[in-house]
Amino acid sequence: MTWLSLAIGLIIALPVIAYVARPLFTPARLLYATDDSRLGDLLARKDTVLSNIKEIEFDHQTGKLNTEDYAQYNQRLRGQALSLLKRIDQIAPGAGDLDTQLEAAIAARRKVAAAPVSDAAAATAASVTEIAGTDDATTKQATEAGGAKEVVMQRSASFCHHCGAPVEPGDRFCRACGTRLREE
Amino acid sequence: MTEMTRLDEQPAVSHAPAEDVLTPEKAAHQRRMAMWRLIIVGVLLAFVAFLVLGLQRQNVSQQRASGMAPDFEFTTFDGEAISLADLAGQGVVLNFWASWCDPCRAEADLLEQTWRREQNNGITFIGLDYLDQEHAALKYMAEYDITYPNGADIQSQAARSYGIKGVPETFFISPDGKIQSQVIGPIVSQADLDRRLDEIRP
Amino acid sequence: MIFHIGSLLLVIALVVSFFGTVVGYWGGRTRSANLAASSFHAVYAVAGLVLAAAVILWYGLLADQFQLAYVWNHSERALPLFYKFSALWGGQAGSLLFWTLLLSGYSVAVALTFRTRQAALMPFVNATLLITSFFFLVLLVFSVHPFEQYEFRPADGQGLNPLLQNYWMVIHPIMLYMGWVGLTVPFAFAVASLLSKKLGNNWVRIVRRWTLIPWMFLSAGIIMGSQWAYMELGWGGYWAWDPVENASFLPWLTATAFLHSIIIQERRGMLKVWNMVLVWLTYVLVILGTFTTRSGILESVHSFAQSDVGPYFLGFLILIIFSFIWLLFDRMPLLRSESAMDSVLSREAAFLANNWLFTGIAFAVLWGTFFPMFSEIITGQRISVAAPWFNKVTGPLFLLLFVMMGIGPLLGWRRTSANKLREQFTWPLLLSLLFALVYWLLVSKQFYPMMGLTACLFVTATIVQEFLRGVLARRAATGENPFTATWQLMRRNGQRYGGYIVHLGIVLIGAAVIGNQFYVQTTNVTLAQGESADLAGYRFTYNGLSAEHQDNRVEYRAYVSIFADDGARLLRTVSPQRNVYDKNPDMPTSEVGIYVLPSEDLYVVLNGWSENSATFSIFVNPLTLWLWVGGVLIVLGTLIALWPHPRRKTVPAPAGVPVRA
Repeated sequence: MTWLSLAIGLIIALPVIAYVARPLFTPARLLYATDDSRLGDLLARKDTVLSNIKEIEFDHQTGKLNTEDYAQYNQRLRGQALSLLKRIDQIAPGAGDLDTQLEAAIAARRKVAAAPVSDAAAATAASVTEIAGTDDATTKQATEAGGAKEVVMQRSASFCHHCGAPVEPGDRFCRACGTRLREE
Repeated sequence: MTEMTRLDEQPAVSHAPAEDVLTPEKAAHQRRMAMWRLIIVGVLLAFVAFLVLGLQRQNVSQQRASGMAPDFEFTTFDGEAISLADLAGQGVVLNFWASWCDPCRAEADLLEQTWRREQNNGITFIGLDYLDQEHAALKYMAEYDITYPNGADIQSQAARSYGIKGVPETFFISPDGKIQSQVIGPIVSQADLDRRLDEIRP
Repeated sequence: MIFHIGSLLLVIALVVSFFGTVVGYWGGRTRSANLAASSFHAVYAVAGLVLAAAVILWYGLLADQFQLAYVWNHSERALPLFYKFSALWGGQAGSLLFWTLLLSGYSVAVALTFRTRQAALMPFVNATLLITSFFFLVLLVFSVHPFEQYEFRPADGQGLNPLLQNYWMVIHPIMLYMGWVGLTVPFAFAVASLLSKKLGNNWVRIVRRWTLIPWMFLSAGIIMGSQWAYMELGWGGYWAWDPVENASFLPWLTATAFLHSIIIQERRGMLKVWNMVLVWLTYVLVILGTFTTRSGILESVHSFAQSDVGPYFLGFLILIIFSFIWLLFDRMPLLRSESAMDSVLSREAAFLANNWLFTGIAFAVLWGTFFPMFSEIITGQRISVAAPWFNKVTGPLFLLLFVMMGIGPLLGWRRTSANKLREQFTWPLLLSLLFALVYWLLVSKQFYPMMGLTACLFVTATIVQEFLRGVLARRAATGENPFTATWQLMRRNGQRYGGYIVHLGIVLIGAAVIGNQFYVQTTNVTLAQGESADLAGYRFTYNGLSAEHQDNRVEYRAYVSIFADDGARLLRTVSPQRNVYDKNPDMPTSEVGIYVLPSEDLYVVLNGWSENSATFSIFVNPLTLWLWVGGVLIVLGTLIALWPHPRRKTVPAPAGVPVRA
């Protein structure tokens, strides 16, 4: 190995080292201001629940789930979706914008939920999940809003964790399904 | 938060660390878990230990190439059977070559002339023809008038046990069967060859 | 001198990758954006350096720089340019460099994709990818030396291993390496989520996709490897349960199991620990496979030359096995299941059964692969486990797996009621029973092929039914025509329907394997010019031999005409050939002559020849075509599953629309 190649090696090494080490000499920053994993996780969960709704609906359409099972699971999942949305909205109000539509959609859906699920209703559900398809946009928006973590209790309304029906403040049991409500 | 992390209405599982209250069932559960962990780690350790042993075995056969000269047998192009064991007590120069190998030509004459000079001094030259065809090899030998014992390295057995990097490659084996030195590539200097020969004289 | 610089580049990359590893882990822990940024820079820098080193080695190969030991050993002047290029992965040192290059490629892709989106995980991901790079760079710098030079410059090189001079052999390793190397990515995310304790659904969604990509490459690589063995080795087979083949198959098995069980975690929050174990196992098996093929610890027809990489690999294996196990044990309380199994008749349960089967097969293959080593250590005798053992042990497991592949998709999530079960299974079951009966009466009474083919048909029937029901449901909802409905179904439900297409590919492969396992007809004949041999209703006539010198080899080509109907109709003249390479005359390679029919391959191997006669092995291999078609379907299905969802526009919420009950 000649001195020349060592010298050339050094000439290559120096800029590489400078490039790799440079960020260490800039003013110290934190990777993320607060622990926003809750939001990311909630969003991921929301997506999961929504795709679960889509999945069981599809299973029902293709004849894998009978109507009673479907209605039961559907109601449960929608309840979950709704309360997840609420949580997301509390953590990052900005992220709620897109989802308010969805929330409204699901809430509208809720009103007729007591009646047996018909195919027409299923079709509505399909369009609901179509809206939910804007996952990425929501996520991005939410991540941007993620800095503003403080909980803003702008909505007084809350919902049953089991069936998703609205509950009044002070209620200890759900008026729709009778489940004991959790303290939040 | 806790209730939100569950997607389902199954009995709530507390996410708090397990050691808050130590009921008998919990203790038993912990013991079971610890036992399973021990078993898993044990199995993995055993597997790794086997790999270590297997590798060691592998190395034993490999390292022969750098310590004791592995024994080999071959039949010369003249039909004489020779094995390294027969040559104990003599210095052996073992040269791997091939007729298609150009660098081999650079050393062919030097080896042959040195062999003629040294053959009565207790030194034997052996040529092993590596991955070659016999008629081409014989032509090559005739071209350089090679007279020391030469033969084909059938199925590259010797080449493999010596772990040669290619041809030409030459091993200098002392009378007690140790590899004294090794040259990868052609030997071009008489002085170098003589120095290596001096190390393996009986 | 340029080659000195090549090795210096690797040394610099080694240092940078180590630095990046430390900075990554540390930055992730302390949440320092500066350290994290530095780890990103390290990823990019390592990739650049390794790429430069690879380019230098390519230059050495293409410019015939035979003073480089690697070039001298794996190339020659007369080698076609294409193979000079591919000689980069033809030998030990070069292929390790190539491996490192691909790993850096993946690392950069991951870094660019997730830099902002997964800020919390990425420092750990970078560090885990970099520590793998670091390990391979250690091998390159301290053990295998791709840039080792001789004092003199030989006039010509040794030539590339003749077996590798085949276009399949050029693509096959790339695919395989893309698969193997890519499986580092899910492992890196698993480690990152464990270290950061962010174990929500987030990493699951990323990892699914990033496992699917390498999985596709690995599948394609394995299929191409079989294609190569089939076309090139000339023993009529495509799979021999050789240690090297097993080394590629093992991670495929665990990765496939993972791809299934991760769906349950995504949907139901179950099997979290198990998924971690599968990701880890897959990665360990990749490293273990590389270790076994390169250290010479197991004998194989296609191992690399022996070298001293063994101890390094062992060290790294110990590190990844035990550090991960320790980490997993430590984070166990965070990995509780979120729900329990509702019913045995649910898709979750089917997935779980599938996982047990995959793991069982993987364990059997692992055991068989390492048995020679175990037996040598314990009894002193090396007892090899041959193909029949593997077939006998894994055959029934694969059969069960196929049955599960039919059942699973028909079950709903959570619970399937009895009447729905009947609805779903009536047709496929009836069809299968009918088929089995006909087969038993008319074709053959052998148990395994009958069961196997019946299972194949059953799975196909369920998949067809799934597509039909899906299309019908979609049509009912949207009123689209059948083609649009099918298309939309696959586009919107890519995961599910792409998966079905992959299953269909697997079924085709299964059918081909059964055909080749049980119904091959073969004969060895020596034919004088003009003579014929009969096999399976075909007549093979030997017409003569030609010899022709190509770049670096002599090609001996025999001409064999194949007739059907007892010699009445000429189908095709095939020309099986042998290539004798100038530099490696004792390793002649074979190019088989094949006439492919949908029902069977007519496969002729030239074994030897004399003045006016030649010896052939003739095979009639049933259904072999479908093996390759199946491979194509697997890739196609995976691409459908991977395809990004169509961007759906935000339609006005139907909140105001009155919904009638």
